[in-house]
Amino acid sequence: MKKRREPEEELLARVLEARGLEAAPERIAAMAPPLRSLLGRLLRLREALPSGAAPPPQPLDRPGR
Amino acid sequence: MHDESLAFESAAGAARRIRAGELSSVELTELQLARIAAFDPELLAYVLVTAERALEDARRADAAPRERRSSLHGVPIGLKDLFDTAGIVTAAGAKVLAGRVPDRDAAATERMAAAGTVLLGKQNMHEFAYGLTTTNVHTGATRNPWDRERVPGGSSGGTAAALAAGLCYLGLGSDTGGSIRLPAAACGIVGLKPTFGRVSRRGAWPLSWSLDHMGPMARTVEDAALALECLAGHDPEDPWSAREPAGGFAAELEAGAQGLRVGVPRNWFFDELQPEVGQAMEEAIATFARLEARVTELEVPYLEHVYTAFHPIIAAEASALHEPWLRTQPQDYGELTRRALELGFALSAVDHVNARRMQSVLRAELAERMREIDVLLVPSAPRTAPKIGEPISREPKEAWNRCLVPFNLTGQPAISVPAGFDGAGLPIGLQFAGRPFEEATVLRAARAWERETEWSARRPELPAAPARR
Repeated sequence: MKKRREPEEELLARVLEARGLEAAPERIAAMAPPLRSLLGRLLRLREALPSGAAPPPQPLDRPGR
Repeated sequence: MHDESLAFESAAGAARRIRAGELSSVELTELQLARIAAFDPELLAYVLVTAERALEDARRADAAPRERRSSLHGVPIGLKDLFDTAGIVTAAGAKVLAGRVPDRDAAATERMAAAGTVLLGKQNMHEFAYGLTTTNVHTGATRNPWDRERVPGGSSGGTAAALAAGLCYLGLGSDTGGSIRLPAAACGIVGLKPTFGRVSRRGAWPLSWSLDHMGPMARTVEDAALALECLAGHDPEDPWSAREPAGGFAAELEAGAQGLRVGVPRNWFFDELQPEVGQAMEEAIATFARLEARVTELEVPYLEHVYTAFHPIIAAEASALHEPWLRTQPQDYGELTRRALELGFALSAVDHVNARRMQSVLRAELAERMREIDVLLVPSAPRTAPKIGEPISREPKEAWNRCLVPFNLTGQPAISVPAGFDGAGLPIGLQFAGRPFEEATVLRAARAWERETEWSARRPELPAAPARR
């Protein structure tokens, strides 16, 4: 019986195929656990962000400087 | 002076002797080339030795009038293989770029050449600088001179190993997530990541545009300061190059620690350290207190999220850069590099923006705390060098570079200096981080520490002494 893919494996396969990149099952299976861990931590990061937090400023130069 | 001592002379000391006419650049260069021929087949610090070019540079240096000689004049150096060198292969440790010959020097290459240094060769690195070991499937694994079964750290591992083994007097590295400071710590040398924008990245192969820093690697703090004097300054060809006035980096070197306000952030940086690393840090803190520095302990919020914030930023930028080659020649990437790059496509734009927001929060929190503090004192790495082939975790608490990454996100200057050895004889690194554009203060703290200890004077045992040509 074919093993059902984990959600992270589905995600990886989908994004790689969509960009025309090779989506080899064994590589995807190896990448899924670190991706799962990172996505979980990113969720906690989002919850920890102070509400007013904005990305860093983008300094601009006057033309000709 | 005995060859061995001469090989480990500081860059500043070697240059002083060249200026005084006691020594020629050709003599130094020949000594280094002989040592590279003897030791490097095992260490693999170099991917390319430019012997003819080195001797040509050295002869030119010796012919230059004394009054035109810089503080690094005639000194043989090495470059991480991501700094473009006109007419010389620059491949960033990658098969994808194998045989690539740039037609122009990188800005940093140019500045070091203008200072009269001698190019010994290009040094090994982790593939595309995307990793911490310098175990490179294409160019080979660089070995740590202190234990040749161990990694030298990465990604600037070849440069650190060469300095530790006395195979160059100075080197240049790049630091996106600790890649100057980690190998410096692992190999018992000095590695300085200057403020973001301080040193031009033009012609240095990028990993992550918004996190990449270029900087010197050396055996002494003074050498790092002198190299920064050569490297720093605005470059209109690097869009993120800073316009801050540069110079005076060595001005405070001998000012000592008295009165220096040293902050010790106990959370995150000091969690779960290898016991010998923790002990070395406590000794450093006690030393600064004894030297009448004003040592303060503090807590910095949000640090537990910093390593997580780092990943969507580096991954998005690196994956964007590499997408064309991942499509056309994916087989030319090492498996681990390819996985890290492909993983970047699975992270969302929202994750990236939230990571940037956390970067902003950390910058503000650290800037606020550093209003009353001159430098932070923290470990460079939570543990000493692992064995070649040992897996490197990217889980935040276990990550080898977790004490370094915060300062890539904030862009503030940070330096790693030798701070002792563990029970297995492996080097331990101590890190100082300062306020943006205050490299002189960071160098002052590092030099105050160096003056009090003898760690920098220790040398690894190498297999056999080479015969002088």
